[in-house]
Amino acid sequence: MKQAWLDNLLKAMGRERLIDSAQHQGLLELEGSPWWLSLLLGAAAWLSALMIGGAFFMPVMLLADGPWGQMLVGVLMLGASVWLFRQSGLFSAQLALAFSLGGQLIVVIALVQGLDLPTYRLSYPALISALLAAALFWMPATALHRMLCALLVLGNTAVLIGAGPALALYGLLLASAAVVGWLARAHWALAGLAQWLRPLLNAATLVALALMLFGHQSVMEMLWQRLGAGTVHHWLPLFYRLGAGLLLLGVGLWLLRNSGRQRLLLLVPLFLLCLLLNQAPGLLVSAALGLAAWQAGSRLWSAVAPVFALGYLGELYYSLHLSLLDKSLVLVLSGMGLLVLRWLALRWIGRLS
Amino acid sequence: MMGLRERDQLHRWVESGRLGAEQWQQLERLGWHQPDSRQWRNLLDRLLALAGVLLLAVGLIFFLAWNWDDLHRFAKLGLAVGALTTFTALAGYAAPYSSLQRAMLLGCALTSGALLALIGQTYQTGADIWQLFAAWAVLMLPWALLSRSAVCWGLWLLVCNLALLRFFISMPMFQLFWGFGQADGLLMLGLFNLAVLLLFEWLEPYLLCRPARLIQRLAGLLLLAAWTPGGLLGWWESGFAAVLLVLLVVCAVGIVGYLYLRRDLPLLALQLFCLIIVGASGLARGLEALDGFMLFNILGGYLLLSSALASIWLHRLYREGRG
Repeated sequence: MKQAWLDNLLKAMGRERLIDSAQHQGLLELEGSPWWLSLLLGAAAWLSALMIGGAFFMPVMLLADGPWGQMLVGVLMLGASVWLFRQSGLFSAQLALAFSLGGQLIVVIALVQGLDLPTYRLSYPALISALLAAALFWMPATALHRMLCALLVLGNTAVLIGAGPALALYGLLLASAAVVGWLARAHWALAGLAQWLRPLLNAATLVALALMLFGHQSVMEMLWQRLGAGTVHHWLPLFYRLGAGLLLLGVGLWLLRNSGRQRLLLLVPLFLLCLLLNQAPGLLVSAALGLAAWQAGSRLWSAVAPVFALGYLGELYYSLHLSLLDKSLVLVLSGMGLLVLRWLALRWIGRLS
Repeated sequence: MMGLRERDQLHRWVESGRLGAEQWQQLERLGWHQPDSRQWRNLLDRLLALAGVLLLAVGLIFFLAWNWDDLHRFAKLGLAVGALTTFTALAGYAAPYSSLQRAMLLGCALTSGALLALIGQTYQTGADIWQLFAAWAVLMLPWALLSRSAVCWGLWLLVCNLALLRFFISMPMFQLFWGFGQADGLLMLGLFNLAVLLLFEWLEPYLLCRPARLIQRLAGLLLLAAWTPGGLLGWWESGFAAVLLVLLVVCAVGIVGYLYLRRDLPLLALQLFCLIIVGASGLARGLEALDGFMLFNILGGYLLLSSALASIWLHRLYREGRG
C-alpha cells in the first residue's frame, strides 16, 4: 500500500511551484514518525526508564551514601540524556528519553528524602517533578520528550492544586488555552518556538480532556482516596458549566466569523445546545477541543477528543449531581438538538456553495 | 482540496522549519491550510448525525436505568420499542449507506441492547450479564451487516469480547466439568478475535462501506490484549504455555503476512512490541538466578535496545512509503 496521499501532496505542491524537486525529495525523507509509533516508543521508554531507574536506585541506596549520592546518579543520568539528545539517530533518542525519565524519577525521590520532606503528601514530589520537567522541557530534544515533560508539568500542577473548584478553573483555563492555541496554529506555525509550542499544546489538550472527566465524582473519588490526597468535595461549579458552554460558543463564533448575519442560523441552536448541556460540561469541552483541533489540522486530537467524550458519558452515568431521569432528558433533548443543527448546517452550507 | 492528513503534514513541515514563510503565505493564499466548505459539510454531516443518535440512544439507556416506578412496565417497553421503530423507520427513509442511515442503524444497535436490559430488569429473567451481552451481540449483527459501518462493527466486536470475557469469568460449572482454566479462556477470546480479523481481511469490501482497516486493527489489538498476559505468564506457569506458543506462532505468521502480503504498519508494530514484552518476561525467567541489580539493568537494556531496533525498522518501512 503506497503512501499515495504524501506523493499527491508533494506533486500538488510542485505543480503550484511551492517546492522544487530537491525539496520534494528532502520532505519525503524527513517525514516524521506516525503518532501510533510515538505512542509505542513512549511506552517502551517509560518501561525501560522504570527498569533502569529501579535497578540503579536499589543498589545506589546502599552504595551512594544517602540521598545526595543518589541524586548525583540521577543528575548524571540527566546529563547523559542531554548529551544523547544531541546525537543523531533513533536509538540515541530512545536511550536519551529513557535516561531523562529515569533520571527525573531518581532526582525527585532523592530530593524528597534528602530534604526530609514528608512522603505521605504528594505535593512535595509533585512540585519538584514539575520544576525539574519545566527546566528539561526547554533542552534540545525530541518532540516526544518535550510533550512528556509538558505533561509532567501540567499533571503535577493539577496534583498541587488538588480536588476542588480551583482544579475546575485550572481545567477550564487549560481547555481554553488549548482551543486558542489550536485555532491560532496558522499564526504561530512559523515562529521559532513552534517546536516547543506544539508539544505543549498536545500536553495541554490531553490534560484538559483528562480533567474534564474529573468534573464529576466517581473517577476523582477513586483516585483521590487511593492517593490519600484529601477529602473529595462535590464540585461541578456554575462557572465551570457556563465556562464550558462559552468555550464551545466561542469556537462556533470564531469558525463562523466571516459568515455574515446568516451565522445566527447556526449560532442560536448552538447557544441553546450549550445551555441544555451545561449539566454535562465535559461534552461541551471535548466538542470545543475537537472542533478547534480539526480546524487546525490535528488528526490526533480530532480523533481523541470524541473518544474522551464517549468516556465522559460513562462518567456522567455515575455522577451524582443529577438524577438519571434528568440526565436522560438532557441527553435526549441534546441528541434531537444535534440532529436539528445538522439539518440546518447542511442546508446552510448547501446554500453557500 | 487538502484533507485533514495533508493539512496536518503541511503544518508540521512549517513548524519544523522545512517550509519557509514565503511558502506558507502561498499555502494560505491557496487556502490549503484550512478546511473548505465541502470538508466542513462532510464533517458536520457525519459528526452531528452520529453524535445526535448516540446521545438519543444513551439518553434512552439512562432513562431505562432510572427504573421509574410510576411508569408502567408496558409504557417503558413501548418507549424502547418505539425508539427502535423510529430509528429503523428513519434508517429506511434515509439514502442507502448515507451518514444518516448508518447513524440510525447504530441507534438501532444501541437500542436493541437497551431493550434487552429492560426485559431482564422487568421480568427478572435471572440472566447472567454475559448472556445479556451475547444476546445483544446476536441482535446487533443484522444492524451491523446492514449499516456496513466501522462504528457499528466496532461496537459489535467490543460487545462480543465483553460477553466472552464475562462468560469465562463467571462460569464455574464450565471449569468444574470440563477442566476449563483461565488459560483456555484467554485462548478462546484470542481465537475469536483472530477469526474476526481474518474474516475482515477476507470480506472487508462487503462488510464495510469505506474499508479503512479499522476493524482489523481493533481485532488485532483485542487479540494481543487477550494473549499477551498469557504469553507473559507462559514462561513461569506451565498452564499458560499453550497461550505463549500460540501467540508466538500467530505473531510470526502475522509479521510475515503483514510485511509481505498486506502491508499494515500499525499491526506490525503491535505484534513487534508484544513480542518484545513477552521476550522480556522470558529473559527474566532465564536470568532469574541473577541479583536484582543485574537483572533489572539487563531487562531495561534489552527493552531499550529491542524497542529502538523495532522503531528503526518500522521507521524505515514507513519512509519507504508502504505503510
